[in-house]
Amino acid sequence: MKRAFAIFLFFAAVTANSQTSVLLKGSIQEQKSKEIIIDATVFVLGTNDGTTTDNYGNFVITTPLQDAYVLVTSKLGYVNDTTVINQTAITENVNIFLEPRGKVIKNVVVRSVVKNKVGVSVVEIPISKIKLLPQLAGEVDVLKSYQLMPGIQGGTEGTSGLFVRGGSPDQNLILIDDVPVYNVSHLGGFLSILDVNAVNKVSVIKGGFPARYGGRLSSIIDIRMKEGDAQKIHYKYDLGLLTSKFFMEGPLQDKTRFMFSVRRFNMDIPARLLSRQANAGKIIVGYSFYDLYAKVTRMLSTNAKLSLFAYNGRDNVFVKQNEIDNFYATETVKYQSNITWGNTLIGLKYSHRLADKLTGSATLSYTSFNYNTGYGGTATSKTTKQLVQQFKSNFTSSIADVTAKYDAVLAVNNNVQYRIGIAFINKLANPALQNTYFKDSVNLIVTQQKEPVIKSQEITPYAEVEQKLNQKIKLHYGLHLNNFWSNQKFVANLQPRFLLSYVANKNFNTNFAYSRMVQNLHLLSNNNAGLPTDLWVPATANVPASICNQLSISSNVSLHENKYQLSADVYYKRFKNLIEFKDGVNFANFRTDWENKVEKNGVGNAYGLELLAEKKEGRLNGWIGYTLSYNYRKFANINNGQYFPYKFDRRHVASIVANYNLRENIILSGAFVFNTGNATTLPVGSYPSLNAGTTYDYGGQTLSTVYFQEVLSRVFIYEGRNNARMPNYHRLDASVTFHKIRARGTRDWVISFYNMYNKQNPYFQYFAEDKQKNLHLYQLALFPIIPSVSYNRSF
Amino acid sequence: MVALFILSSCLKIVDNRIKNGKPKALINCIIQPGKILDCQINWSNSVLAKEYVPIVNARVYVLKNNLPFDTLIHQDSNYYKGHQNPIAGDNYEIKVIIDADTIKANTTVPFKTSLDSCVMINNAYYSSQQQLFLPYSYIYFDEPSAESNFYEIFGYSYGGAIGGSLGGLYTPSIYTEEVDDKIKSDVSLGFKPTSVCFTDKNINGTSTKLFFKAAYYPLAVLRTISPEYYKYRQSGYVQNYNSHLNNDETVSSIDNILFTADASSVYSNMQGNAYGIFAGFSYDSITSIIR
Repeated sequence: MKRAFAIFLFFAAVTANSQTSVLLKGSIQEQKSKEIIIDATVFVLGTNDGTTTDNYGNFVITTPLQDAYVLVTSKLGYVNDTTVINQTAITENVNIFLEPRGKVIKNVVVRSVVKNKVGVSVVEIPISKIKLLPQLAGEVDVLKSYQLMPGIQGGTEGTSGLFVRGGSPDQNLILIDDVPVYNVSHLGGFLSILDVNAVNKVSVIKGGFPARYGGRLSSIIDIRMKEGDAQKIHYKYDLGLLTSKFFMEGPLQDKTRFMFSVRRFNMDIPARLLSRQANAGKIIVGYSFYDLYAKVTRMLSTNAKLSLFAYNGRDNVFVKQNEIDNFYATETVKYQSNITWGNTLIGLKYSHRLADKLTGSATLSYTSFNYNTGYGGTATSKTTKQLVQQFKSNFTSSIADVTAKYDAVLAVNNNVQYRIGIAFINKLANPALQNTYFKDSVNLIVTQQKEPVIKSQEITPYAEVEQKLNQKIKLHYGLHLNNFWSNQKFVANLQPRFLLSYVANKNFNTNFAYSRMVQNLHLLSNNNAGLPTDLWVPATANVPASICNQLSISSNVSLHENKYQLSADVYYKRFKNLIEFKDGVNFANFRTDWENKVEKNGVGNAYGLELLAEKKEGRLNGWIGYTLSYNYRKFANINNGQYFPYKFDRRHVASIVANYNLRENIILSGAFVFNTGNATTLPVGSYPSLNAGTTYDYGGQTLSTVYFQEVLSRVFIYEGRNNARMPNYHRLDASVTFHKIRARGTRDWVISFYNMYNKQNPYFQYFAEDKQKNLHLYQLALFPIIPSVSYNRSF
Repeated sequence: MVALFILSSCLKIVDNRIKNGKPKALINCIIQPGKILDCQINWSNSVLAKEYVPIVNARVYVLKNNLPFDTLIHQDSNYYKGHQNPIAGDNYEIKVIIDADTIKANTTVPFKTSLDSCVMINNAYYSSQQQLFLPYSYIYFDEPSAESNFYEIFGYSYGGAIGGSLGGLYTPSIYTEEVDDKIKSDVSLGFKPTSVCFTDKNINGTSTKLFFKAAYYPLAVLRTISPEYYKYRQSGYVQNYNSHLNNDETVSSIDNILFTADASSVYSNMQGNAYGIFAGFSYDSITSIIR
């Protein structure tokens, strides 16, 4: 380790040699709101010197000494800016303000997917574009939008989980302002917890991972929240079929700004009313959720910033039985049960510039997810009004992390940048805690059952270098070292990362990347629907960390001044130490003794080709994406130890997304998706089950039974896990947005149709007998055509 | 929201999605001491079949400790019967020749473990909250320490015995959520089978008292089963549970809807182009004492 840092410092010393150069530094913000702009491109006109802004909107460029400098700034969705800097001003911070292009739908030139940076496998859809996409029940979902990009698939229809290059949703590291999130799904995964109003930027890294990231195998989903308008207080409300939202942002003082956002599920009230009416007021059933985001940012000086971010979200399902008489009408009985789950995130970040070329940030964060289910009731005597009986039961499971980390970036010059950092993570997993309480006139019984708490610690230093060897070749390499302690066991995993980029000219680049990723967490789930019952557990000596090695190559071509872009990626991933539930482990029993209920040491292969063609500008813009992929798993005790297709192994996945600016204030949007059907397991035959009956003599009677056949009348013959395919899936969604500028602010009406031509896409298949006792295979389609209307108002 | 979508959802029969494989022979043969050897031999059929074509021209031989022991003769339909009684502790091999295919399987008939007693506590009753309380039962036996044993427990009851008139005899369901902790890991499925199979890993060589909960048991039966029988039964329950067809549909439905249940195969120890099971058991039974 010491040697690695010595080498790092040596490189830093020998490359910091530009005596005749000057340093241009500054920040880029949105013109009106002063919201920082991440990943904007800045370069000095007439030179090859340039860079992109970091996650705090800052940039540093080293360029030869001149009398004056012309900085050209661009960012998708914003009008390009040109700023002249005199030599006298070069020691000061340059603040550049960009005017949004797509905010007012006039001469719309909304670009779609960002991929102008040299690099591989990074996908970013501007939030303005995401808001235009037609979505299920009109509810804009940031994560689901990414399912339209090559290499990123959805799972079961309607769910927001992302399956990136053959991975599963638990293999995505989801960071909200650098704080990891464990469960991003609301009920059944139909909605993610992300509120589009509060999000500034989302990028998904599919491969070529920088060394600063670690902890998951398949992707990094980096979400940056808004900091808030520095000039004026704004607010916005949205009324939709499923949710209502309220968003507020603005300055608190000169140097402080805030953002606040709340979202609430709408359907709980009708659900309560309907269930009350259906059960004569005796039983009420309800479901609700909320998301609450808040962020406060204070500029401590021109070189230092402090921000505090917090999120809390909770889902609640409940059944409540009001007072009813017991069987003998002697007692009044009340009963209720509920399931709640949610995340809490807190992040405190201090970002500062230590020197002209050196910036750093310290982050202290807390993230937790907990799941709770409880039921209880009382019986009260109708005559004495005394409590006759009381019982309650409560089950909890939770996981929580506290992380402290520091990252430093040294921009030696335009050709070399170093980044080092270290993180300390303390993790506490509480898989299962069950408390029960029973009391009546005779007994008082209190019990507690508990799975052992799993404590783990991680220390993860990293170092990475971005180096431009010449105008055509760029390297980005580094090491990520994960030191992991769990139950007195220690494991260290060194994870090399490497990216080579060849920039033939401004219109063509090609890249090669290798990444090794290690995941010290397992998600106990075999549905991948993002259910709250899924359980996170740290790796143990018996169930070691999962590992993935990925190779990828990508090429990007820009045409017509970057109006059109074509890209092609190929990838190969090799997974090790995967887990899968053993046969028969189910919803009811997987939490206890979990280490013995999983198949371990599984391996997997995933490989594929991703193609993307985009038209970035113009009245008609959008993209066509296509993925050809193969995805297999192997476990010693599943499928006779042979490889089998992963459940979401889909050979062909295609999407077409188009936006058309019909008039100045009307935008039409459409999205068509096609997927090869999921892999599923279907029998290929059947035979009668064993009649294991015996005759017994019982008091002169002969007892005879065929009892096992009563339970299992036939045996299905399976020839391999996931041996069949569900029907192909395809769907067309469309929406029209009516935008209007009002005296105060703007308003939008959005009319959308999910599944326009009402395709009965399969949700799942199962066997059941009809009334004549004939067995059939049934298929359930869950989402017919769903029209919706939403109204958004901004002030 | 799920309920909302389900209400507007569409269910259809898609039998045409099923691809049937080539039929194979099915041989089911259970042997027990004191019972003349017999077996059933069929062709497997399509997934949705209601009937199975018997194989009537098979040649069926049984070897004991690698020596010829018996020949089973076709009787009627799929039924073949021999002449010999097997003995506990011996190893048997079945050899079935169908056309050009030879199929083999082996098993050893285990010795029986004797039941000391079965005690039933309480009778069934309804609580003041209309909740049905079932009797608890304890079985007592000395578990031999010399070998690893596999067991199956079940009982016989009268239909309508709980507060009503006597009906026909049946094997009632066992509440697997409330069986003894010592065998719970073997019966972790969330439904109520009519018998429970378990291993002796937590009771080996001990004077054992096992608790379980079921309806009224006039007669309790403890089978000592061969490992093949144990695997067949356990995998059979898993398949049934996962395929939505078991008796307790409420539990099964949750697992199916939540995709927590993967389809799985039933164990077969037939070597050759066939399915089925060749296994053995011994048993002891005892009349319950009611307290």
